[in-house]
Amino acid sequence: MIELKDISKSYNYNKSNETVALHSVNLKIDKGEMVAVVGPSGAGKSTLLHVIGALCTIQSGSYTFDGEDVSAMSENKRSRFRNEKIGIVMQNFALVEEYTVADNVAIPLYFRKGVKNRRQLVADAMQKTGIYDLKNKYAYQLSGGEKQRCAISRCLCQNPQVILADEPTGQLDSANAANIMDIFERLNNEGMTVIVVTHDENVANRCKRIVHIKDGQVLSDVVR
Amino acid sequence: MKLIFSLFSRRLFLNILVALQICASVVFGMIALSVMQNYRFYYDVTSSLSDSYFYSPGDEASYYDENSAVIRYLNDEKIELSRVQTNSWLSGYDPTVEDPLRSWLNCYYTLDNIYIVGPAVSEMMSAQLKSGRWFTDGKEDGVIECVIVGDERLFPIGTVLDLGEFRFVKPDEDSSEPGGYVIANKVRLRVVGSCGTSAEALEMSAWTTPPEAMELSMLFESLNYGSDNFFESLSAPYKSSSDSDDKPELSVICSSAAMYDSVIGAPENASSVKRAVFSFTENVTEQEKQQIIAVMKNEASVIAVETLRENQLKAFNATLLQYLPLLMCFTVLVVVGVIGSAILNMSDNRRVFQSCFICGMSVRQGCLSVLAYTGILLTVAAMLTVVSWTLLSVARVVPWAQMYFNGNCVLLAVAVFVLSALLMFIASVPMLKKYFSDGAEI
Repeated sequence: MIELKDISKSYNYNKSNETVALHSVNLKIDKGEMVAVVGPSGAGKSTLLHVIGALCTIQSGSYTFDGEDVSAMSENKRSRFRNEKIGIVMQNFALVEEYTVADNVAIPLYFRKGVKNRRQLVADAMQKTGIYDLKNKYAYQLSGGEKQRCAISRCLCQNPQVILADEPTGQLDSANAANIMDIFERLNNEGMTVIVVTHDENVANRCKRIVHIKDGQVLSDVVR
Repeated sequence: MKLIFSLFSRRLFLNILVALQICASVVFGMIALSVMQNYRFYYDVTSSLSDSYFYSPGDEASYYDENSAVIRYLNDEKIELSRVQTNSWLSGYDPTVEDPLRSWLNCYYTLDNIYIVGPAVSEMMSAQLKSGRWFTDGKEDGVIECVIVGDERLFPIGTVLDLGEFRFVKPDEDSSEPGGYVIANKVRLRVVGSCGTSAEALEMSAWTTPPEAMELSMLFESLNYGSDNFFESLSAPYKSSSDSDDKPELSVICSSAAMYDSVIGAPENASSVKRAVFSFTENVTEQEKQQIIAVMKNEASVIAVETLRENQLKAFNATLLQYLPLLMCFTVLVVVGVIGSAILNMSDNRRVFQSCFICGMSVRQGCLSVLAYTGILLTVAAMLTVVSWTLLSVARVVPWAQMYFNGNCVLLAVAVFVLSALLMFIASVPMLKKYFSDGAEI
């Protein structure tokens, strides 16, 4: 499903302050996997997630998704790819605070044409994470766990093939973190591919596959 | 749409403040433009009237002699320049009137807008206007042509008037003849034209060139105001002149309003018109022109249109200098406001864009949303501008403003709005790209 070959990614490329984030990374993730990407800070975990999520471009290598060359896509195509196939959950939730839960969940649909039953899609997504009752609350009125569930609902509203979660439990207490991981597990069990970037061992241990990254390179790739 | 409104509403106060800034700048700019356009208009008009002269009667007191007679001598020729009561002209001098001087002065006070060019000027003019449309054969039949300024309702163009030239005679103790005003001479005058105010004449002259053509159109216009009878009464001299290929060597430019007042207007509305524009055609020699101007100068005051034009230019420049610092201040305020609000908005809306970016918003869509937000801001500014301009116009709270709204004002407003939008967009896009580039901001 996801195949990264010799991916290299640098920030400030060809500048004096160039920073290499990923160096010849090879990774293959099949459909339905639940993968944890772990490593110390600055190892390149988030960058790897950004590459997979088509949030950034790469300097070399190739990235294919279901046989489609994502690395060769234009900016517009990458946006559409992100909108249709990738759901992204951020540590800071990336919600619009003054929007209601329902409005936040509906954001991906702004960028998709010809969608019918928007309300139904949004309602279904909220029900899957158990925040339907909070639909009229504003994002700033939610707790951390509720915010993250709202962010996951937003992903689900896209009906993505892959969910990318960047430190999804980083700002949550253990109980809420467990709840969020429960949701990811359930989604994975339903067949969705989930990739979680974390440095939390508890979170990593709930994944079936753990990829260790250090200094922009894959150190180990363990299937449990 | 909700997204775009959220961009605008996040810094609502700031955005409304910026809209107000833009509105104030546009309104002020339009007022400044109006004021300057006013000068520019007269400058252009006077440019089209090159080699012309404004004629304006001078101080009315100068028409009195030492005995308070309404007589004035010109060029040592002792040519009378009379203000006469129409009834007296038509009925003739009546020595039985108890106080002819009082009658005379009454005339002056009640009908001071009637003014007849005296014989010398008429003669001078007729010499120059021998081929003019209203001066065809005046000299041959002993009729002296005249220009009546002001209320002409009793004297349609072409009317021949018999007038008495009055002279003041001191009482002679040895003679049985009483002193006072006596008819010194009789003159027969033909009404050849009517003069409007300078502003009216200028505005009218802006419509057509050369001035002769304008004269025709104005006459037509004035005729159209009136009934058929008036048309018939006036059209004859006009038509005969229009058939002629000869151009008048001296044109008296009249305003239609003055013509209307003078011909068919209500007496109470008759304007006290005392100015005219004299335009010379190429047939007039410099010497002849100078002669006429000299006579006119003696009669009253004559100013070259060129001088008027220079005065307008000076006034224009002075106004420009007066408004320039304020305009610059407004411009700086708008530029700072627009760029500042763009940066603050983008900064505040970082989360919104971040959220949209990860959900599939492209840079193009981001730019469009910024444009739409800019559009909302400028729509608010435009609405404020319309309301402000209307209020200022209606309430006249800006006494110095001309409030002269025309296409140039619209162009100015559109230019300010478009430039503001561009500036805002240019200030926003780099930040937007930064948010969307390499995911570094996420």
